[in-house]
Amino acid sequence: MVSNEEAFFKELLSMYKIEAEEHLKAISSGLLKLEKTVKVMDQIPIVETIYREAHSLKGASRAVNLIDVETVCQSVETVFSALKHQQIDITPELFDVLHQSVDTVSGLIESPEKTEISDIMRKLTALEKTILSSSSKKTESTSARTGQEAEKIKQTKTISKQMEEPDQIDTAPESEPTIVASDDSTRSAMPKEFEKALVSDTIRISTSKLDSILLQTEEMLSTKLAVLQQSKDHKELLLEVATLRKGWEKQEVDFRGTAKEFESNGNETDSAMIQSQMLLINSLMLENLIVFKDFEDKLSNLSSLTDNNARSFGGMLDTLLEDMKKLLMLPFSTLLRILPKVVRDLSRDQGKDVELIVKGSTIEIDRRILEELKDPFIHILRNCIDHGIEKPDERLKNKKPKGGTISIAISQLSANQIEIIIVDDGGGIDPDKVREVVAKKGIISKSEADQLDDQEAVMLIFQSEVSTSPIITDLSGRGLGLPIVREKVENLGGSITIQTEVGEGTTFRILLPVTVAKFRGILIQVQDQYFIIPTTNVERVIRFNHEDVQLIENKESILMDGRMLALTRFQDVLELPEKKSIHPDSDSVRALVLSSADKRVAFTCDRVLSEQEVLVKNLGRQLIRVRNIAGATILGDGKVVSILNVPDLVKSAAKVVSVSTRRAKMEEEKLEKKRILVAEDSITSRTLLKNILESAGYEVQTTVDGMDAISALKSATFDLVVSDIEMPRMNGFDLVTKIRADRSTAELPVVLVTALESREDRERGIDVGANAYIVKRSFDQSNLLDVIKKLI
Amino acid sequence: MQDEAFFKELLTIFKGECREHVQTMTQGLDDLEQNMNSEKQIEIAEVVHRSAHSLKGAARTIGLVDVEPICQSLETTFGIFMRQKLTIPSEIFNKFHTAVKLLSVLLESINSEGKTEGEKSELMRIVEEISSQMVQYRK
Repeated sequence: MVSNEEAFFKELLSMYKIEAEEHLKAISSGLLKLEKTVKVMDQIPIVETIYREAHSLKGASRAVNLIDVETVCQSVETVFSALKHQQIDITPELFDVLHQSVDTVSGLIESPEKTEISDIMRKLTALEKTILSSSSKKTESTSARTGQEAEKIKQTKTISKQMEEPDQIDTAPESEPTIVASDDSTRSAMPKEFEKALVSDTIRISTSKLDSILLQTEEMLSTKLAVLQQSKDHKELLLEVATLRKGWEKQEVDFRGTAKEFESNGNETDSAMIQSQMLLINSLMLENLIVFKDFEDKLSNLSSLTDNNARSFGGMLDTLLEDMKKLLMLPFSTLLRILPKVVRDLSRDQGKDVELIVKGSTIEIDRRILEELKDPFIHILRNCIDHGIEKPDERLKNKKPKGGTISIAISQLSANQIEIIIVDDGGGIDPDKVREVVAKKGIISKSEADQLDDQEAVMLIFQSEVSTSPIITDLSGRGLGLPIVREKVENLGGSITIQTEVGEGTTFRILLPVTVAKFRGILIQVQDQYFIIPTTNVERVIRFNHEDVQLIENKESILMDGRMLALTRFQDVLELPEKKSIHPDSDSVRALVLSSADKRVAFTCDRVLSEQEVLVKNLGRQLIRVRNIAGATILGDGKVVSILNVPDLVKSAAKVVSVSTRRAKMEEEKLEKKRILVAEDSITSRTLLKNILESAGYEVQTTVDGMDAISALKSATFDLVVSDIEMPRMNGFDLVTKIRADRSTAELPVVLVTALESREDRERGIDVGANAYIVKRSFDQSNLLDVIKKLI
Repeated sequence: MQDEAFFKELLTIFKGECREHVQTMTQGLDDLEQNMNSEKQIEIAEVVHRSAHSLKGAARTIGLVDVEPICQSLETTFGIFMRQKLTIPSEIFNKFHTAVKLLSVLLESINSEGKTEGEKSELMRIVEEISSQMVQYRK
C-alpha cells in the first residue's frame, strides 16, 4: 500500500515538474516582455498573465506539498497584484528581484536541498512592505489625485474591459519578431498558426513513450539486416545447387555416350550383364537429375521470395522509421524560448545593451537534435555578447545604435535540411588577430598563417585554444566554446561556417539535417578482429606503399594533400595483442583518415570490408564507459562487433608513442607514485597487501571495510582500489557499486580479492563493475601485481 | 619474496588476529545459545560466520593450508544459523566450544616457520561430527 502511494506521489511530482516548468517559462518570458513594453496600456495584459501563472504555480506547489515554492509564489503574486492595481512602479530593481524569484523557484524544484530561499524572501518581503505602505498612502491621497493619475485609472478601465476577452493575451501581434511574443508556446508545443485548427486532434503523450517506440522501431533494423543477409545466402546456395546440377547433367550425358560406345564395340560374352548394369545406373542418374532440378526450382522460388520480403520489409521499415522520427519533431521555439533570458542575463553582466530577434521558431526538427543544440546556441550567444557586441559608448563612437542586436533566423532549405543563421552587429573578428594567435599557440606556423586568406583564417577560431580575447573571463576567452559548437554540430551530421566583417559584425551559418541521420559505419578488420567506424568520422580511406611512410620526430607519418599526417596502428591504440597481419606480404597499407574536432589521424588496418547501415547498441549497465569503444552492433550474419569511438581514438593516438620515447616516459612515471587504496578487514591480509604493494613501488592507504574506504575516497584521490569481498558494515560488492555510482570515481579501477573462488561471486563482481576478480593464493601475490600493472 | 623479518612481524599480527577471532567466536557461541530461535540469532550468526571466514582468509594469507579446511567447515556450519531460526541442543554447542578451544590451541602452536606443531586429529574429528550433526538443520 505504502509503496503504491509512494509511486503515485512520485508520478504526481514528475507531472508537477512539467507543469511548473511551463509556468516558470511563461513567467520569465512575460517578465522580459514587460521590461520591453513602455506603454502602460500594453503592460496590463502581461502583468495579468504573469499574475495568473504565479497563482497557478502556487496552487500546484501546494498540492505536492512544496511549501517553499508556495511561499515565494505567494509573494510574487502579491507583487503582481500590486502592479495590476498600480500600487508600485515598474523599476529595473523590481525586475531583478522577480527574475531572481523565478531562478530560486526553479532551483527549489530541481534541487530543493541546494536552494536557499531566505535571500529572495527578504527582498520580496521588503517589496511587500512598500506595497502595503503605498496602498495606504494612495487611499489617503485619493482626494488629492492628480490629473495624470486620473488618466491612469481611465486606462485601467479600458484595459480591464479588454481583459474580459480571454483571447486578448494570445493575439499579440504576429509581426512581433521576438519569440517572447508567442506566449502560447508555453502552453503547447504546437506552433501558433496550427494550434486552433488542430486542437481537437492533438493529444499529449510523454516523450519517453514515444522514445521507447522509436527505439523498438530502430531495433527492427537488425532484422532488416538479417533478412538481407538471408536473401544473399539463399542466392549463393542456389548458385551452388545449379553448379552441381549442371555437373550432374554433363556426367549423365557423358555416361550415356560411354554406354552407347560400349554397346557398339563391346564383345558379346560379358556385355549382357554389364549392359544391363549400365542401363540401371543411367536411369538412376536421370532420376537424380530430376530430383536436382526440382530442388533447384524450389530453392529458386524460395530465394526470390526472401528477396521480395527483404525488399518490402526494408522499404516498410525505412518509411516507418522516417515517420517515427517525424513524430519526435519539435518546433525550435521549445529551445529558443530560454534564450531571451540567457541574453538578458549575459548582457546585463557585461554592461551591454543587447536585443535578441528570433525568426522561424515554428520550424520543426528532431527532438534529439534540438536537445544537442542547446549548448551550441548558448556558446555562440556568449561569444556574440562577450566578444562581438561592443560596449554602448564604443558603439556610439562608431556611429552605431547604442544597443546591439543579435538575430537568429531559422529556415528550412529542403525536406531534410535546416539552416540556422545567427548574426550580431558587433565588432566582428579580425583575421589578423586570429593569425597572430594561432601562430603564437603553435597550431600552425607563422608563414602558414600568413598564407591563409581571411575566410580560412577566421575559420581557425573553431580550433581549440584559439581565442582572440585578451583575457579569460568567466564567460569566455578560453577558446573552448566554438570548438565545442563545431564538434556538436558535426556530430549531428551538420556543418558550421562563419563570416565576419571587421566593425560590421559576425554571421554564423549552421546547416543541420531535420532528423537524426541513419547511423552508417565502415566495417574493418584488424588482425582477426572486426570493428565498425562511424562513417561521419571517416574523412577518407587511403592506400599507400610501405615506402611512403616517413619517420618524423620518431613518429610514423604519411604525406597527404601536401600535409604530413600522423600514422597509427589500430592494434596499438586498442592495445590488441600482437598477431600476424592477415596478408603480411602485401606491399600496400590500408588506412582510414579519421577526424575528430580539429585533429586528423590516419589509422592503418588490415582490411576495409564494407560501408553499411548499423544499429548502435550501448554496452549495458556493467560498462558505464569504455575507452575507445562507443558501443556494439550485430552484423547481418550474427557477428557481434564493437563500434569504435573516434574522438577517443584520436586522443589515444596521441598517447601511443614510439618505443624509445615510451621507455623514457615510463621512467618519468616512476617518479610519481601511484596511489592504491586497500579495503580489507583481516589485519593479517591487510598488512601483507600493504607490504607487497609498497615493495612494488605503490603508495598504499589501508581501510578496514567498505564504509571506511568510501570515506577515504572522499578525502583523497587514488589510482586503484583493492578490496576484499566479505567485510563488516559494507562488503566489497556494495563498495564497487558505490564507487561506480559516484561520477568522480566511476572510472576508478577496482580489483576484488577473495579467499575462495565461486562462479556466482565472480559474476556478481563483474555485474557490479569490478575490473578484476582475484583469488588469494597465500604468499604468491604476483598475479595481483600483474593485474594492477595492467590497470594503471 | 618476503624477507624473514617481515614474515615474523606478519606472524605476530596473525596470532593477534586469531585471538580476536577466537574471542568473537566463543562469545558469539554463548550469545547464540541464549538467543536460539529468534531474530537475534541470525544477527549473531552473521558475526560468527564472518569471523570464521576472515580467519580462513588470514590463515591462507600466511600459508597455513591445514587450518583452512577447519575454518571452512566452521564457516559453513555457522552459515546454517544465518539462514533460519533454529533450536539446537546444548550438546552440539559444547562441541562447538571444544572445537574453537582446540582451534585456538592449534593456532597458538604456530612456530616461527609458520607451521602448526599441535595435534589436530581430535579437532578434525569434532569439526566433522559437528557438520554431520548440523546437516539435518540445513534447509
